[in-house]
Amino acid sequence: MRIFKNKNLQTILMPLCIALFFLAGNALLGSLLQPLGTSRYFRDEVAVYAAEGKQADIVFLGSSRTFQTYAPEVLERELGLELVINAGSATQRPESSYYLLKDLYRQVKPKVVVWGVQWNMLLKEATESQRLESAITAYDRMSARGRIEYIPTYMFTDLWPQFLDVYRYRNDFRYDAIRKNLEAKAEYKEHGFIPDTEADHYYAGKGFTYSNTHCEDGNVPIMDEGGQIRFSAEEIDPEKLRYLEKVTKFCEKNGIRLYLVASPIAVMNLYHLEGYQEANDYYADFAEKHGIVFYNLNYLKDKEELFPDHMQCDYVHLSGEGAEAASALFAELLRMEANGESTDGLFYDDLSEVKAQIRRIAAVKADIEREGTRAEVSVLSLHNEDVVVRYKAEYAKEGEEEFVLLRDWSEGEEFELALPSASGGRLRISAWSGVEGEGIAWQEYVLE
Amino acid sequence: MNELLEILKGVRPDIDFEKETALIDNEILDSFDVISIVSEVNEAFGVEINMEDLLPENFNSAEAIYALILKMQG
Amino acid sequence: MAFTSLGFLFFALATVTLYFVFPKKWQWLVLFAANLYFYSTYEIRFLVFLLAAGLISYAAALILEKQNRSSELALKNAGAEDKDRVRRENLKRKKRIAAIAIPLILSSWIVIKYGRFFISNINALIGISGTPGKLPEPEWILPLGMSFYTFHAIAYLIDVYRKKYPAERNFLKYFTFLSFFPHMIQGPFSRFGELGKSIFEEHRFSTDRLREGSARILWGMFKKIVIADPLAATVSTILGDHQAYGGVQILFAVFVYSVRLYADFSGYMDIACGLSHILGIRLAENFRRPFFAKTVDEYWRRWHVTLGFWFRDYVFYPASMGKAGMKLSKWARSKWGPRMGKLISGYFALIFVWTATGLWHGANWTYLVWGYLNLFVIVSTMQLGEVYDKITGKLHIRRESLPWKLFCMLRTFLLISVFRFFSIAPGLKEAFSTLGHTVLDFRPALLLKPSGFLIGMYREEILMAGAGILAMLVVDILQEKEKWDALKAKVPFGLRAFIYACMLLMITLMVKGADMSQGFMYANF
Repeated sequence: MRIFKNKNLQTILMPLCIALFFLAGNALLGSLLQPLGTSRYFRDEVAVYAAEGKQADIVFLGSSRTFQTYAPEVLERELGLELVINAGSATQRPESSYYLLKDLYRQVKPKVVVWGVQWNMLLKEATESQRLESAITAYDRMSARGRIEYIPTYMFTDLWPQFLDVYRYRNDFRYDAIRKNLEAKAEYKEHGFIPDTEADHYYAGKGFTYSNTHCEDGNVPIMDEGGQIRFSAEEIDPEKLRYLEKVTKFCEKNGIRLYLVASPIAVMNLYHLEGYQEANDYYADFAEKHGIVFYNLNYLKDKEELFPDHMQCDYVHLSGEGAEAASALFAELLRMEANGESTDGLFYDDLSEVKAQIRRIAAVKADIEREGTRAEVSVLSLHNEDVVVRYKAEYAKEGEEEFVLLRDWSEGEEFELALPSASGGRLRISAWSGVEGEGIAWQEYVLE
Repeated sequence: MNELLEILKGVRPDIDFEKETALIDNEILDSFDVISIVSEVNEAFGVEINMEDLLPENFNSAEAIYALILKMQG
Repeated sequence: MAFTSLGFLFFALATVTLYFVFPKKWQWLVLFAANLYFYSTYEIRFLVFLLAAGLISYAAALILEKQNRSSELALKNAGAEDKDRVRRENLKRKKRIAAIAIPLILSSWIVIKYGRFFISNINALIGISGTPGKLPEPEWILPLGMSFYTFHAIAYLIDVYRKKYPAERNFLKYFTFLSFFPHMIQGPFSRFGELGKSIFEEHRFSTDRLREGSARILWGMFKKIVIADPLAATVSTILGDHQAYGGVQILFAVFVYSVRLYADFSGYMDIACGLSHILGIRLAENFRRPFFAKTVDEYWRRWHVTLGFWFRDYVFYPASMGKAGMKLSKWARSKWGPRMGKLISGYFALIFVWTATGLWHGANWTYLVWGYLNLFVIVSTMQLGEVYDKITGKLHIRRESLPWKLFCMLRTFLLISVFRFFSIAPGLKEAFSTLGHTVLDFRPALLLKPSGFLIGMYREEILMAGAGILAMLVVDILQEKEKWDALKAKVPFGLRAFIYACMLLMITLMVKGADMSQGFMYANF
């Protein structure tokens, strides 16, 4: 074609043609390399509902603390609803929530949005990778249209290569991996999605992930959330606040009823985090200012009975069993609201009131320095102020099941132990208030 | 001039020095050739070609070399 | 800023845009600013060394030129008897200036680069003598580009000394040349006469140059990312633990190292030259299909050629044509005839060249040994030239035949690879032990198990790197036969776009960086 001989035109057309071919190659390789997974299943499900013209009664937003807490099936059953969708994604930050909500609104027009908020959701990011994770996991759940709107917001950051499948999945460019992937996709196309109920965590449909694992009572470890354990209104990231408000406005404009809900987390956190009450009040004030409802399920008066440690999958996520309980509870709250009943009486206002009801040691941690048959132990435990903590130490030799008592209940946060063997074995440290019937916290450590 | 051509052919019999005009630019002569030519020319014509004169324009052809020799002889 | 990083691409784009937006007379100021910015992305405090080298060479060149001109004037006015005296005075003065300036420029480079080497050798001697104590070994980092701009500055000075061209009066202009970012990190060694002239000409934007330069930059990135970087895994795996492998594998790894180094180094050159081409500036070529060399001597006229040219012009010629070289030449002629007479001063000069070349590459005895190995082979090839001719004549080998040429190329490649045992090793002991291990424990049977060779690379990476090497070979062959440019022009528009897109896809597949392909299921948040 003569047009292609014009040199100047060529200079303009060449990059365009290259881009075209490149994007085509990217799409082709993407279809080979993209793995099946939760986000794909979710996306496909929502597309089906959208195609059927269904409308979602409730959509949940938020991080993994959302997608592991709210079971759509339970809510649909308890409230007689047609469709509940859990759109939580790992590390989901307000910005991602906003764009995800817009995309979902376009597809299934929810009537109610429940946003799982957490005490550190508005704080400045601890690590750069969290920001990336938030963007990518939300992106994965969006429809094509939603992605087209979402990608430009990241174009001038260093995250943009991640939106190229050929870059993102380049380490999966292996014949075996591709073959397996295509086989799995063929199966998925034929049989649809089949949950693997045997796995530790499995996708159970409509965005909800069911957790088969759970903690044992008193055995929740003391965890620092990536180095962040403090909430302070001064450390709020204005960008995140901006998106919190954008979501609120969006719901207001489109007649969506918005809830902010803090899902149940292990009691340990309430003692370990600084400024938890401040965080609670911040969300409560925000909700009041915008005329929306805020629930903190950790302030429930019978939270200890409803969500004991063994209903937790880990220190901030519920197990599947716990999720079903939380979903049923939340359904109850909504039902009471619908009936005009007040739910205030079910909750405490203050962290101190919450703690006053906790009749156990929330968690314990030990630092152990072992040399041969000697061990130096330094313990830390989380509990109410009026409690005098006693500690017990037990030891099981390498390969043995039985624990031998080394140190009976006694006070003192630093002590030495004489171990029966010079290497290996497990040490169990327990903490107790000494009061009959009150819960014990314990941790087991594998020694070298 | 003939004396020069004999010297040049003696160093590199495979080159047609009457025709070539880019001996340095086209790297037809390598550095060993150059110093051989210089030492022989110095000896035969009693001049003192040194590094300052090792410019392409002085060595690109037999004529150029001859011109250099004449210039140096005064 | 690495040449293959996205940041560099943006920097290049900005520089090119500003360059052609600026009025042509002041284009070079854009380069000046770009150079400073580029240097500052590394270590701005090292700029002081660059500045020092620039100031000293700039000032010395001006003084030399003044001396040249005043002596010319004196020569014109002098009577015939005085002419020689004036010349000698001039030479003496110039020598004095150079004798101060050149060591001054060289000194900081020598101290920083070779200080640790020097002191560690003294410590070794102290250790041998049994004296207690040790001198502290400095851990200095060589400022960016110092091995290159030092040599650029000295070449400039010497060129002005030799009256090749006038000294540059504008310091900013000279400094723009010295700090020119495309040749700052890995060369090529540029001459002010050529590059300076090219930089300060006025350049118009040309779509032809934009296309050619961009294609070349893409090719360079392709070579580095698709061929060189992946091969590094195999090389470091095998050479890092050579005891665990057979000689045949180690030798293979050294071959791969040569290919990898070529792809990396020439790829870098492609990016530098391509970018300069877009700006309209001509940067010297550094590679001319080195693996097609039939002798080691020829290899050094095809590999890193500007380095060879630098040492030829500033070490070889001075050493061979200086007084010592000439005297040696005369003596050898009287003893062994005219042929030896001609060669010996060259050999004498080559000793200096290869000592300097070896040490320039690194402050280690291994580099010196490496340099002398090259020297030995080159000199012996020249000396035995007649013997070779007799042998190939007797065996009726046609020198122009392809099989013979291929044999010579392979022989050269093998020799260069053997030399590499020294340039790669961290020390002489390791070099000899690796070489010894290779020879003594060759294990040729391993050739039957090809999977044991390209270790540390996935099959797909091997395929892509292999495709890249094949492409590189084809392009090199066509360039050698001078058919490449004609062929390129014939490729239709669509096919060309497709090929570029494929290259970009391969680059994206092979580029290193954070891996986020796995979804995140259970973050703590």
